[in-house]
Amino acid sequence: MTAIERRWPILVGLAVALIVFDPLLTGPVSPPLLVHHIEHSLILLLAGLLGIAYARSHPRRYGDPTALLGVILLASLSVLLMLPDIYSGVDAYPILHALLHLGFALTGYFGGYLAERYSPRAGTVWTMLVVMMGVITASGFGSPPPHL
Amino acid sequence: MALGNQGPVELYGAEMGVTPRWMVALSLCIGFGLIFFLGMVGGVMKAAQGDIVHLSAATFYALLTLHGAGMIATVVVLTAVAHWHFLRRLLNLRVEVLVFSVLAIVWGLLAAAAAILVGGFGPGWTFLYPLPFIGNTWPVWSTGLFFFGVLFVGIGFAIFCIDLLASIIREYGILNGLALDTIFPGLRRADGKVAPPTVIAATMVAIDGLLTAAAGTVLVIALLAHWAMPAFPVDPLWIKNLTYFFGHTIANLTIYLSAGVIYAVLPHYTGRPWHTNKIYAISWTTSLLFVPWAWPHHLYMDFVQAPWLQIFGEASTYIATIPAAVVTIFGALLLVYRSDMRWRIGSTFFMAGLLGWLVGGVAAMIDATIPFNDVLHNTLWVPAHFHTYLLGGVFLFVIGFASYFAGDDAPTPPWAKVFEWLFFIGMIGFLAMFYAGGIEGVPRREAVQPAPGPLLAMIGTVFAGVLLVGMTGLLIEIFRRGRRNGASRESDAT
Amino acid sequence: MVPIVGKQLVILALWLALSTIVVVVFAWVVSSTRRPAPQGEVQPGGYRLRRLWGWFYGTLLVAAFLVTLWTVPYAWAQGSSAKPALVVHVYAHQFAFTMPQKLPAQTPIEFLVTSLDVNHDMGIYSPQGVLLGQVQAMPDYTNVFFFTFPAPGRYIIRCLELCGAGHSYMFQPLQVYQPASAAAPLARGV
Ligand code: HEM
Ligand SMILES: [Cu+2]
Ligand SMILES: [Cu+2]
Repeated sequence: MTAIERRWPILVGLAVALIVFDPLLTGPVSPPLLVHHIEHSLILLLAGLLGIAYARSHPRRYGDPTALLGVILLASLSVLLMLPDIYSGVDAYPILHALLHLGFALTGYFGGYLAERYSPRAGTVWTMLVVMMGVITASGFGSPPPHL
Repeated sequence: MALGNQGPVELYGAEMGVTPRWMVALSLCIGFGLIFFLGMVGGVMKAAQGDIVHLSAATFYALLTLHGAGMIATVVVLTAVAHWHFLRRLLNLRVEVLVFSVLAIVWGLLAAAAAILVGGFGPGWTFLYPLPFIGNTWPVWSTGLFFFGVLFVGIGFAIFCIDLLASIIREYGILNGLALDTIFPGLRRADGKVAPPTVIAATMVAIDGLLTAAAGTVLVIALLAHWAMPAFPVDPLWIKNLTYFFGHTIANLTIYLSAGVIYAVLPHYTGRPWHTNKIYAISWTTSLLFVPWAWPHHLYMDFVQAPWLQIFGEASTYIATIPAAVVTIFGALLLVYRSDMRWRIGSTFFMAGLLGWLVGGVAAMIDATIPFNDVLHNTLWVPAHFHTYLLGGVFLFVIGFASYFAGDDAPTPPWAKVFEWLFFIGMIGFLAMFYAGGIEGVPRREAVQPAPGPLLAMIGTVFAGVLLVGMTGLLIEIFRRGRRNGASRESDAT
Repeated sequence: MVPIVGKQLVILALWLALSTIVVVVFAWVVSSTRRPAPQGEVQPGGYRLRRLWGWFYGTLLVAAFLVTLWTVPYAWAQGSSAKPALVVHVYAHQFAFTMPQKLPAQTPIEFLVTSLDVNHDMGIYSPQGVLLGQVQAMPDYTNVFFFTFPAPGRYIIRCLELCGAGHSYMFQPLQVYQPASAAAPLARGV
């Protein structure tokens, strides 16, 4: 392994921490829904990569069915967390907002980890899936029709 | 990306006591059982439109929803299982995952069926918002139950795609799964192994399938959120786009799953191998990129839709037909041309299915052409063309596969030929009545149609009856063969 | 029976012609299996044919695409050429269209179509029963649809989107009359 291969999880971890605690720095602002959904997808992506990296550092047996169950629940949870009702509730309180971000990070991390535990490379695919869902939510999940 | 420090990959074996062959056989039986039942439902709908039986409007629309949603979910299972049968060895797939995904889909289908049959849920299989929620005749619980059912169907399909894609990445990598190494020498593997065409098809299906499942999950969660909290806002145009993104693509993918089966089966009947080359890599990459962009052709008559989506949707639909017409269907014809083809039930159905795919595809392209769409949209032309390539294409491939799977070495006995003829005559007549209705401007999805709908539906009912008789005979023959040959095949069961 | 004219005739002819070609090709390939030949013998010719077919098909698609670009029924494509003489609001709802019951023939009309409840679709059927055009009616959105009734008569406006139990009965007559003078300016905003 090269130095980069060993160190990237640290860099990614730092990036996740930065986005997660971003509300504490920027205060109670709520970006447009589209940007917000994308931001949350980014947390899922980076945290998912971390989970995969951790799973790969521990060779184990694959195929645990409970991992599959967890993977599916976490994928659904990632969309549920994107309900704008939740956002509008927490956006005004930077601490709650950061906690929500932490929720995304944990979802991404455990999803990536469990999927990779379930089958090699499944973590990558799972992370692709939740990022796709995040991008699709950005296209209008929870947005009222334009003129309303 | 190597697998790092994981060492040799250790996978679970057949610990559930389910052999792959048994699982495929079981799925085929469930699938054909469902098709038979839902086909009867279709016949009853036709009979109602033809004034032969009487159904209340609410019952009719509930049956319509059951038939549409059920058929789509069933052909997803059948084509996925058939393709899986060939991919299993190539990609080291595990039968447990297939068990999970088939269970999830069938479970979802049962939940949806309960919502429809008990609750009377009936907004059509595309459940266009806001009809599931307002101005309808069914209880609120049935709407929720139906969407939970759809969620399970989506989850089952997602499991299938996740495992497929993970296996492809493991065995080939995504780029080589699309055989892009035939174009870029830098990707070539040391052992010179190139993905066979059936794996290329699987790569496209797995990626686009994942995208579809992602869209489906967001769609259903948005609808469930609105169901649980009516204040949750839904933009009707956004949800319509998402609905057709999901519905169109998942139905469309059954054809691409079938293509994977064709690549694997036709060589068996023609005795000629089907090789990968550059053209396959290019064409499947094209499909991968453009199939997910074809959905806007369902929204041509929504004039507020962004103009670029309308135009890009038409262009993508056109482009997506090129790989099918120039590579897969042409390639199949070339493989068969002057081959020593063994004409059996399987090979006959595969050829007929290719024909149906093409004829239905022509009708679909006409419909996907914006200046024609304004006189075809939501007329019977729509069920006409999609029954041509689902009933007269995908379903024929599945029958062909079942007959291959059950053992298709003996020539077709004369009585089975009779059923073959009944099936095809019934199908052609049934489809012709749909087309006639479309040209005459009869709307689709109507419990009571304007003239000449009822007359055409009456004739169509007779043909549907003939079709169902032929289908029953053929399925019995295939089942008989499968049971007879099953014992002797147990040896290669693992 | 409804007469098969106009676009419907073109569509039927196109589809029948193309399908016939497809069927003939398939029949030819199937019958060729009676005189088998080694794959190596037929494949080179097949690949040449595929190249030709690919180019032909691609050109056909590009041509078809370009032609359709000029004939789409959208406001942004027609706005300048067909200056509407009349603006008509259509409110679709379960199970009727709230709109004028009489409209002039040979007058470019701009329909502003929306729905008050679920999705509907406003299909225009000629007095002979031929479907001439349509537009979806979606809640919260207004679809702008240009249409000119070719001749006077009793047209039918029919819903073409499943909109509930009464969907089949959502149709109503529309009397189209000969305007006193086709050129006479009509009030905007009926
Ligand atoms: C076995 C014989 C079949 C019969 C008799 C039949 C009959 C029908 C009828 C009468 C309709 C309603 C058309 C309308 O007025 O809108 C319909 C719709 C439909 N059928 Fe079939 N069908 C058959 C097979 C299939 C197959 C094999 C599939 C798919 C694999 C399929 C998929 C659909 C779908 C998706 C719809 C649309 C439902 C909706 O509008 O919500 N059908 N069919
Ligand atoms: Cu945030
Ligand atoms: Cu309506």
